[in-house]
Amino acid sequence: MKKKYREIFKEFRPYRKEFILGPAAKLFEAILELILPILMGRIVDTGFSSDSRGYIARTALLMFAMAAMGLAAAIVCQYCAARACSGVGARLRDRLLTKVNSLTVAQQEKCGVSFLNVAMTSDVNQVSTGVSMFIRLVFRAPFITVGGIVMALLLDAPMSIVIGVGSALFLITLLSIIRVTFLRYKVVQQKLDGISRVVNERLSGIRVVRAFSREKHHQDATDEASEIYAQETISVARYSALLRPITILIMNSAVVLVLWVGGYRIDSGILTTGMLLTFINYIFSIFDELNKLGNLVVIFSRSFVSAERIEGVLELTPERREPETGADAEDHDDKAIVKWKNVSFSYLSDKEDSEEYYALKDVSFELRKGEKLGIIGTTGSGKSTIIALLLRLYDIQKGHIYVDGKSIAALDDRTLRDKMAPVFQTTSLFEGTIRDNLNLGRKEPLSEEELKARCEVAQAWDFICEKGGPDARVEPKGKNFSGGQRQRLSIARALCTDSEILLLDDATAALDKDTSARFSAALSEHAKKHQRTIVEISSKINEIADSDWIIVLDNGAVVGQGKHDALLNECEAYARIAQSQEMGGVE
Amino acid sequence: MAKDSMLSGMGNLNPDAAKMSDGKSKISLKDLTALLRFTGTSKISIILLILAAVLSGGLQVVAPYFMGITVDTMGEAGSVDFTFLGKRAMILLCMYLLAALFTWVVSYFANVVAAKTAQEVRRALSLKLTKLPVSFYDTHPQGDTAAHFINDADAISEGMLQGLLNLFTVLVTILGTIGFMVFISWKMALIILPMAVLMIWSATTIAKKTTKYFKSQQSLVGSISGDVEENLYGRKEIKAFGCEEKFLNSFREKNDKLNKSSVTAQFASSLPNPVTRFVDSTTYILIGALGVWIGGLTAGNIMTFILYWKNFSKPINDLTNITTQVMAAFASLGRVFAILDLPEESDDAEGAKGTIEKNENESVQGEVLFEHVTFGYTPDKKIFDDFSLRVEPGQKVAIIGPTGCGKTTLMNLLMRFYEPDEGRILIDGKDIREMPRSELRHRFGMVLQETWLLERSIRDNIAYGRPDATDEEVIAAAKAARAHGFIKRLPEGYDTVPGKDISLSEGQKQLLCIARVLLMDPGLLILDEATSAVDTLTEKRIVEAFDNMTRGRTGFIIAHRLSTIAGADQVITLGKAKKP
Repeated sequence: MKKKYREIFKEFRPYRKEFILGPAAKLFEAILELILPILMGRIVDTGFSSDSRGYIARTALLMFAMAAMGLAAAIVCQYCAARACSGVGARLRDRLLTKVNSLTVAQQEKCGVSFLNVAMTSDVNQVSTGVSMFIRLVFRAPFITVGGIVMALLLDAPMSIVIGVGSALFLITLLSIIRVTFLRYKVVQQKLDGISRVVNERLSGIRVVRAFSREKHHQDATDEASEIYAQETISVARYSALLRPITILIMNSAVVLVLWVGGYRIDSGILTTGMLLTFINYIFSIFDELNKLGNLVVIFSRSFVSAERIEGVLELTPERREPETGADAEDHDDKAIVKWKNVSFSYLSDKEDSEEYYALKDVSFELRKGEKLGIIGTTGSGKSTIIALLLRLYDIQKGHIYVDGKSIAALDDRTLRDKMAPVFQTTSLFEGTIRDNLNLGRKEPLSEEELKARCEVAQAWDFICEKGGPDARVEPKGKNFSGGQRQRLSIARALCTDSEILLLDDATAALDKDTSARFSAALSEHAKKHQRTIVEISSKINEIADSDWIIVLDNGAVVGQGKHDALLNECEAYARIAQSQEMGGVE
Repeated sequence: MAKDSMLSGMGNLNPDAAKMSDGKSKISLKDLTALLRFTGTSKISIILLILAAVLSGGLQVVAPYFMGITVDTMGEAGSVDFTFLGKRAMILLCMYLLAALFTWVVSYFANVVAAKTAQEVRRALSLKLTKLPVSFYDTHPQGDTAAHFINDADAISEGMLQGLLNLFTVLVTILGTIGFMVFISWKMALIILPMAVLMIWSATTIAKKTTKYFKSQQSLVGSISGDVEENLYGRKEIKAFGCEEKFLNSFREKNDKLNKSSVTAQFASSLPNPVTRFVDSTTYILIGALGVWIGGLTAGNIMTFILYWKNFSKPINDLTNITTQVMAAFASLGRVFAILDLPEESDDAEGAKGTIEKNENESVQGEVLFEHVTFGYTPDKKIFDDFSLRVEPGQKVAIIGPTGCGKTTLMNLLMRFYEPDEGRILIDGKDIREMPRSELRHRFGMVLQETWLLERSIRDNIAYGRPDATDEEVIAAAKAARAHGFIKRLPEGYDTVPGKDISLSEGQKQLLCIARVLLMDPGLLILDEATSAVDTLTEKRIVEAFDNMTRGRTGFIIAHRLSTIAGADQVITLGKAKKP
């Protein structure tokens, strides 16, 4: 707990009051609780004569008042705990989401999307539980234990030794069993994940499984995973089943020992039977608290694991490339809206020295305002990477990218991205209305006519009307739309911006031939009217044949660039693709 | 291990918890007998466990009484009989030792029975999955089915564990304790029993109120998780369209609400502990004061009562948790049986067996005949209405048409994933319903649009249909599928595990799927939209591999891209589109 969790502790600070008041109230309750057994012992010792009734009544009322005060104090503490743990949770979630959004896409991917998701949800909850338990229990348990032993010491030293040794033994046994089982539970959890993996694999591939008549194999694998899991659970039970009997045995032995030693002390007139009762009550309270302490250890060790993961995310800082200086910072070519100079890029920034990991190698091209750039190449040749780099979702390792004559490393992200409107290959729609989705990149919503006009270009208006107009619901991930519809909506979304450059990444892959032809025609018209520059990635040659410039990519390198006719003659890769498509073009 | 009442506040990540407690609230005898179905092998353990539970419960009742009597023999200074005391202490110690031993037996065997039960539930589900028709998988989300395996089986096991651990011991303890209390002082028993009721009442009332708060918190948590997920899933769009602020604002609004609702829920859920502690203390005071005041109890009696109160209050405190878990277990059991009771795929027709040998010897001809086939996934929407088609052996048939016209349905029928409502399908003159499914499916090689690979080595993936294939055969299949080249370049070659060591492109995965089919050397081939996710050059390679494979075989190509179907002998256009 040193400086290790610095970022997380920052979020604790606003709740300083709760962190102090809560445990203080809990301590107050504990003190009252420690006094009760003594008063109880007195009642038992004095109560046997008939004239002590007044004393008994007074003492009982006092005890009841103390118990009530204890309840009030505990409620104060619980409220503090609830406030602090909810508040810390909310603050951490906020910090995390803000942080994650500020990271580069490369960093997000390095962390892993599911990891970030877990960090923001269950890890935060785990830490928040830890906070709650800290306030409610951390001080109480040791205080009752030590306090009980001290009180016993005040009454009779040998007895306090019995209680002290018993407590120590109890705690050691408890913690070692918990430790062993906790470690093993991790293995059990892995085995459960194992079942989940086998079952999901089997479910997702059901047609293939059936086609190859391999049901038996998967059934056996599932059964095996379940069996391993059951065995692992049982092997943990071998230890965890010891917990209850052994701890209860230690407690009861301590009670018997108090009784036995007590016999001698009573005989010598040092103790009374009432005091014996006080000791036994202390044993119960102490062991009760120690039990809770054991649970606390488990909760805390989970909280710390979670805290570490959260801290790891919070400590990340966005890694951005330093803008170029001097002659490279700007490019004095008024006509080019986009210009690439010898750009090389690898997704694995730590392996930037080895050529083979490069997704793009030494790519140069330029694009003028209002022109259309076509990019073609096989799967995995680096086409989509070009769009990601233009948006500066990743930073390049070598070379320079200029937009409007300025290096994109020197531009503010917002300024750069406002110039562009992308349609990604795998489209993401968001929960809300169709209109919300279409206006995603706008500050002011589009007018109704403009919205319609642009949706018509995207060939989306018809089905939008079918769904009930622009205010129809879009379910999470747009799952109430077909793949082709999602794609057209995301084209419409890009068209609804006022950005100068449209980036289309295989945007018509899920559209049928007629629709995609209609879209192409409408798009050229739209581009002319709105002065849009277009970067279009496609696997279909006929869609980019009319481009002002075409880049042919293969394995990250430009193997040809120029106009369609020239490339057909000069670029072998391009000719080959053309040939493969003409073959299927007959109808 | 952790005390559940403490954790329940944080259980909100598990939406099932809320769902489960909403489920059935009554346990019927039928459910219990259903549960017994899964405990099959563990019956002896259960009997042993019940015996131990009764004994340990009995000891827990006798020991405090014995202890009380012992205290009363000590009386005053100078009057203690040490040999007697020593003997008593030894007997008590032995009692506690035995109690511990029996408790251990209960704990251990409860765990074993619970684990075995979960295993049996999973085994039954696993077997059922094999027998369910494909339509089940098409209509039940994968996540739900997987949840039966993971959550429901565990919930049944957990409920079983809690039930076994506590039911019998608690029963014996509570009944025995009441008996002894009445025996020692019926007046005191009359005072203590209402306190126990008060304790149960206060704990359950608070718990009920808490559930309400948690439900409202639950929907907020769900909505925030949705936001978080959406933010991550659409992260490229969010950056590109610059709407970080928009998303953050909507998130913050919900996060604020969640914070407020969470304070209430957390606070409410943390109340049972102090409140029961208060009732607990009050009872102590009552036992002490009233015991002396009206009961005229001895110190030993009071001690016995305090110990009895412990016997009482502990299980009562846990009772709420245990009942929730047992209820959840039965709700899960209901869901599991909902699956187990589903109709299974019809058995292979009689006389259909034993034909495998014969057909293999005859060598595959590959004539396919659809005779007046009518079919719809739901009765009100027919995909095929009196559809007939004849495919000659060795022909290559292309099937095209817009989405939803039934292209894939054709494959579903051919593979007998679904059965026609009317009409029949013949292969080489034989009704496919008269063939065992495994034989029919062995004759087809099928490549789907969605590539499905196991998280195992490439070699294992190619040899999926024939695990006994030699390395040479695997490599030959990979070569024929034009996949050998890229496999060789992978870091571990054929031992590379796709998805774990490296991620393959769609095209590469598709080539592996083709290699997998090629290794089977089937007589008929189906390519269902297999190239829609790859570029045309890769597509060309896949089609080449497929052409290579279809030589001399009957092949079906389902595609929406025309380039895929070049060179087909017959083109079938389905749906709204015009006839070829």
